[in-house]
Amino acid sequence: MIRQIMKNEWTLLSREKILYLALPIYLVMLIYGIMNGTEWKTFLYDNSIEAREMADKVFQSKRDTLDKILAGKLKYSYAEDPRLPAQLARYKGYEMATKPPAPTAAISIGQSDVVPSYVKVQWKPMFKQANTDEIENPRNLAVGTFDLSFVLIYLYPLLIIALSYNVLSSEREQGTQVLLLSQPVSVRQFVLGKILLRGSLIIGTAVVVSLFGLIVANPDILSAGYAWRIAMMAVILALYGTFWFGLAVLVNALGKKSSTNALIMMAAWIGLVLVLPAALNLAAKTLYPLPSRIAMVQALRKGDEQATKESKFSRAYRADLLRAGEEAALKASNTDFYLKVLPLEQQAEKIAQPIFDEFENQRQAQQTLAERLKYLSPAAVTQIAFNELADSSAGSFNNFNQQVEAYHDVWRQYFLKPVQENRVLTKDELWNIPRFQYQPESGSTIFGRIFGDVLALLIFAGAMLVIGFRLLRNYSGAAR
Amino acid sequence: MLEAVNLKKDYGGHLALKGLNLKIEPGEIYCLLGANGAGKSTTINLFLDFIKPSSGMALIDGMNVADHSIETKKALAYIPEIVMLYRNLSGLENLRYFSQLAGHSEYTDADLLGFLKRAGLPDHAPMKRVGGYSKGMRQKVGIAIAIAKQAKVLLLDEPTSGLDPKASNEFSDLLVQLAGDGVAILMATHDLFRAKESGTRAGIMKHGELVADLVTADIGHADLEALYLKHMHD
Repeated sequence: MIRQIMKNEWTLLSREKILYLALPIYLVMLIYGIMNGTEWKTFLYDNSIEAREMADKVFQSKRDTLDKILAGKLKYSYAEDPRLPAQLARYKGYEMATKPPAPTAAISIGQSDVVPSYVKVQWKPMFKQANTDEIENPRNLAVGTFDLSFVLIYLYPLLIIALSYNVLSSEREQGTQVLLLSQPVSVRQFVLGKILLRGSLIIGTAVVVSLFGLIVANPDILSAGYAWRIAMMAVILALYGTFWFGLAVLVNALGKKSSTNALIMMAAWIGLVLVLPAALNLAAKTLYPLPSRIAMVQALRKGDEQATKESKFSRAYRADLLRAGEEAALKASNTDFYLKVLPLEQQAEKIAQPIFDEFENQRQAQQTLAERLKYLSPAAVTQIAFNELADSSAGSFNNFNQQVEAYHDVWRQYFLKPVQENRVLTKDELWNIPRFQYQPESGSTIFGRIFGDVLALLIFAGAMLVIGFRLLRNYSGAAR
Repeated sequence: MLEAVNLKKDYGGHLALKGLNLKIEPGEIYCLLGANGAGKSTTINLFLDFIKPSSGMALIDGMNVADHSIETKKALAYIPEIVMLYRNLSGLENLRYFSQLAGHSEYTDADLLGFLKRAGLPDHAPMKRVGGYSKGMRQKVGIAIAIAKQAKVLLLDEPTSGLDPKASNEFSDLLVQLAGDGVAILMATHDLFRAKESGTRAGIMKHGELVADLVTADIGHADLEALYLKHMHD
């Protein structure tokens, strides 16, 4: 019976203009979204490679210089000595800590267009490397990048709404309902048949095109063992689509006019897809405001001042010595300077630390709140889950930043030791400066994070269907 | 067989049906007469389970319609006053779909075309989309849908509205044939002439009550009209 209803629905739908108008546009948008995302991923990848090569070149040039000096091909001068630990740590050398995109990055650009995927690491505090700005995804304020997740989260529900807002009301309005309901078939069977046909068409297209398109454009998804992530994406987008179809069933079961149904569905779309995610973002920022960047800079300066006062150390004396211009004086003064200034800077940072702690706490609080409130909107849940699968979520960038911070400590320690020992780096040390190696979060971590999202979407979709089909049991539109 | 037992319908204070008792046996054509709002359509909608009775029972084939909605719909066919079909399907496709829903997936196109022909649809029409049909042609497809269902009970709500006199006459003949096959027919109509011609029984409804119930063979044309008007004037 259901099969016959579906077949008839297909015949009817295939004779509607909307199908030939909407379906190709939908396909083109899906493909365009995948291409855009893939292009972004390539851009991120190229950038990360380029950044790392820049650091490679710096390290290599230091080694080459040392080789030349040791071979006597280059006249030694103190200023040009590549082994000076403080100078190397502070400005002559640097590492580029990079977060190469995941193979699945094309799913969702997410935070990767606002948070940098590579950072220059030197001695100075990471804060000054501009990586701790307030996270503000313009996507939440205005419609942003046209990636696959944009098509699936914003446009896919619109197509579902367009094809299902009047699934039952149109039967009543065109008068076919009385003949239908005089047949030994329940309203619920009709609606199920109609929804199944539309669902398999729209959800099926989304799943097939997304999976196929992603794999064709990003073969590394398979070779890197990320297939489970796009399978997960398919599950999520099927559940998200089911939610919208369930809402259509529910709205139709109310027995209102088609125009009213359309209005209710559009209001739901605007509320759940546009307003709520932006409102959540705003609520988090209002409740847990981050300290301003200026306040943090000032705190660092104050710390610097206080630390200087406590140590009774004046930076000005170095300038006087430098003016002497003598190599020996330079060497002596530099050594002395850095021996004092490096611990001084660390002390200054310690004094300024509370504001950085506050920043971190507030950011955490924002994120925790957003994590909790996202369950109010299936669109927010889906977006965050897609970001997780693409390694472009706030959580993923947090993890990257933590790795960078940890590496920053390693960097400082590596160079601080020879400074304190008042010596230059050994050749061995120059060759073996620790490099940053990004460790992507494990599959099980990601899975753990999106498990709740999948569950929430399952509940959202299930609730709509259960309530909708329950209401249909008492559907009394026939007599009207 | 069709039976109403103390059937009442209360629309929030307005009694649309005040305890109807009626029994229609196989082979009978019962014509329900009465002014607009007398309760004729309410009666038919109760038999279709489109609305629930406030009290009493509507029985089809001995089953209470309110409790056995799906089963009783297998036993009945319905032709509404205005048959509305899928505009983008042809008459044949409409008939095929409704027959499938009725449980008759076995019909060949030849069978279906036969039903359409029997219902009086012109030969050139079945393959054309219903969007271009006249009201009378749609009505004929509705009739074909009812015939194809091979139901024991036929519920008709002014089915001949929109049919020309010739088609209306052919329809009456068809009803007589179906009754001859043992179908119980309940038809709400304003057409006293048809009621007398093809009906075996006639009932006059007024303000939700059956005020007259008679065998058409026992009464002449003029008498039926006089009786009807007498009740309407009261």
